[in-house]
Amino acid sequence: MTRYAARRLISVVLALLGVTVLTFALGVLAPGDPAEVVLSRSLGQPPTDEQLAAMRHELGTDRPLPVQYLHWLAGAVRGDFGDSWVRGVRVQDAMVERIPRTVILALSAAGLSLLMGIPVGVVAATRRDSIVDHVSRAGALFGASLPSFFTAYLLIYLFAVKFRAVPVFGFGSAAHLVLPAVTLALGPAAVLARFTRSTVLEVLGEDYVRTAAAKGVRGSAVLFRHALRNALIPVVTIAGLSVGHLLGGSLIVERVFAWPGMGDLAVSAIQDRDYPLVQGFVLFAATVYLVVNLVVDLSYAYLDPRVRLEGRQG
Amino acid sequence: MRVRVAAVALVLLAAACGGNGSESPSQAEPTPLPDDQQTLTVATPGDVFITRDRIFLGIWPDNANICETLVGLGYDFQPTPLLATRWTYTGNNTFRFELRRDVRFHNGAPFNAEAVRHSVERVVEKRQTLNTFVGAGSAKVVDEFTVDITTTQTNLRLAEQISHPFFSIVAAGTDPAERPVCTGPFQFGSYSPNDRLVVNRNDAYWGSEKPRLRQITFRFISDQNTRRLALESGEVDLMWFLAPQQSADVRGRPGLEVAPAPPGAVVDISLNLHGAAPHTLLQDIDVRRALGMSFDARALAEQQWQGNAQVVAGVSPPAVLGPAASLVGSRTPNLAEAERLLEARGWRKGSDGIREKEGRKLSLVGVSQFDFEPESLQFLQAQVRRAGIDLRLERAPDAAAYSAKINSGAWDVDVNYFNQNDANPVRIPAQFWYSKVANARTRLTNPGPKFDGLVDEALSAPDLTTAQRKAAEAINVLVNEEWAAIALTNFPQIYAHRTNVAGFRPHPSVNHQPWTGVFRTGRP
Repeated sequence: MTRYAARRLISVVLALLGVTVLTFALGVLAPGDPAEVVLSRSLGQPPTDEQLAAMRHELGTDRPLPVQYLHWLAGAVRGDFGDSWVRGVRVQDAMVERIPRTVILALSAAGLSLLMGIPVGVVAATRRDSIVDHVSRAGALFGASLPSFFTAYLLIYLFAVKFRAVPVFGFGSAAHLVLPAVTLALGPAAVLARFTRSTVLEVLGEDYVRTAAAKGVRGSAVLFRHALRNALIPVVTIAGLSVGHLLGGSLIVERVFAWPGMGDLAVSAIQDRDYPLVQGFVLFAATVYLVVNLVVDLSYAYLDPRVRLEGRQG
Repeated sequence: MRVRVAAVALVLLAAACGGNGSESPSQAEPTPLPDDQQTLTVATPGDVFITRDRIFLGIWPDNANICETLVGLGYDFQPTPLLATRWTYTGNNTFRFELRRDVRFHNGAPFNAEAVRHSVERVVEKRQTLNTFVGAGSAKVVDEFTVDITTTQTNLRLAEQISHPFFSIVAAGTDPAERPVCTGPFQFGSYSPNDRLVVNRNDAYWGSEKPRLRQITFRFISDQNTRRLALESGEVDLMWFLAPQQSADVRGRPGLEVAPAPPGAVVDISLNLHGAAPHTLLQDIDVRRALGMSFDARALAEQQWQGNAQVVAGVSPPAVLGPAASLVGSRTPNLAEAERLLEARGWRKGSDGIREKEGRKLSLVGVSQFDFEPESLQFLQAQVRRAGIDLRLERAPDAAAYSAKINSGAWDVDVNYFNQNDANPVRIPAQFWYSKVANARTRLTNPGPKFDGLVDEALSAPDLTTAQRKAAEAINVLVNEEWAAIALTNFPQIYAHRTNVAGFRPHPSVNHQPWTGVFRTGRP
């Protein structure tokens, strides 16, 4: 188990390294000169060639690309991610302010997606081919297909403009969290519902479940004590993968709802060609994603005794 | 009989005097709410104050009326006395400004020549002098209420240029990046990055028009649709940059009004006159003329932008040119003449409707700023296609991509708009087409020595009237003689607000929007 965890940790570090190289390369390839963006915002007019040269030197973008990347990497290893070119503050300061807001949003959305998706999937599976099953499957398809910005506008119009039940935008209270969290949760909830239905159906067809039913165990006990635990093991994987969706989806949701989190910051950083900040966000997102999936992988040993036994025998 | 005549006369007289003296309901000012309810929430397109040094917090590009300049910018784009009551050119590159007395900063410090000197030095230190040629030590105190500003090169447009918010006067010993302390009708309250800026009424404001609102909160909402939804829900009272295509719908909603700003920025199509192959098609003036004649600016304004724009003859808002605006000839679309010109130059229509010559199609590549909706670009493309010109416009996703495209020179046309941010009549031609402003754009767009000569004359004109005339002549050369730019309409800058907001009058320059006359009423 320890060796497995160590191997997974090494692969996480290598993956992070790869992600930063890729992000740096994409940034270099993207059209636009960061020095020009920085100067245009503060000068109010196109900069002269001399001003551009001076700013490129100040930002360090006139150095060879490998030097730029290695310089950044050396700082990152020490926990120094540099300064935001456009905002003039430390990258970690800009991020630290925003991370809690995104975490709140993402955790809320994750919780909602589990609360919505798993019960719907279980009900659909236990009432297979009923009207409930058909409606839930159609709903899940709908939820997975709709782009988040469309869902966002629809929910805002209905619940904020028409019914005045919640605010349109902003943050600071539980009411502000409702619409963004629901919007972000719908996609993963739909996927979870479909997947849960599929795994529960599979488990319900297993011999041990039929045996339990034949022995007179009550239906609810068969479901909750025998079937669900095994059915939810693969669902844990899907839930872990949905972290990626939550982080990616937060860019759009935070922008639409004016929720000043990491996603909103990332969009601005990309538009501003503020590469230190973009790198910071990518590193944050990749770290969260990889760590969550590492935890998911390690949790298998707890959830599935066969994994523990195989590990011992291996 | 006499009594009856007298009675009738009295009745008529009373009617003429208005009976009990009240005005008709349509003329009466709406009843304002009590002072403690005089607050306004404004949705702006994002937090524009985030820069490396946050030097213009509350000042530019969104003007929260915290600070003021020596020279103001009127609704007619003419310079007006503001913190300076008078200015004269005294020779040797020097302007003398006589300052207003009995004005105090928000912290109680007196406004005087030393404060002006300090503010000018700050702008120089931050390298935000625009093209004024103001340098270190340019501002000199003559006496307590007189200051001289001497430019490093001859610049007779200085007085008009310093109406730009960059030249706001700030109190010495304060940090404008944290808390701007100035003389304006509103004073800084609080600022939360990416969330809001709050300003409060300055009860000691010196101006004759006192601010009526007690507090204004500027909420930063990047998403255009969210801004509009926030307005409809009542969470904000006013928003700006409503998409023109949405204006008719918003007008139809109860409780909402639309307020388009007068022309302050002109949509124009800049042409690449000096590009390298394959971007050489527009080096032929007849092709440029044909392209220009194919555009129907009125249709763009009325159909695509729902009447929220006006046809404009030149690349600057007409008002900044004053009476000389008439010197810029207007252009009417003429599709038949466009086709005749192209035929005469050997461009024949192919089977796909696009003209060809010696195996080469008349295909032009264009770029536009991200502010233009795709529908508008498609509209323009469709217009020129009627003449057999294949125009492919690519909307840049953001400012950085747009600049990169322009700097690359890999374009034939550029759809853009430029804001007139001060009272200098030659500002836009000098900044974007003048060869002495050496940058990637002007190297490709400069229309030649006649234009440059007129810009030189405008910059060195001893008075504003002459400068306006020379600027107008330069613009006329640009658009009507060299056909180096095609002016279409003003860029629709549209505000929308709830009907209980009164006194709001959009300024043609977004950066100079005043809030003093605005107040809340009891109207639903």
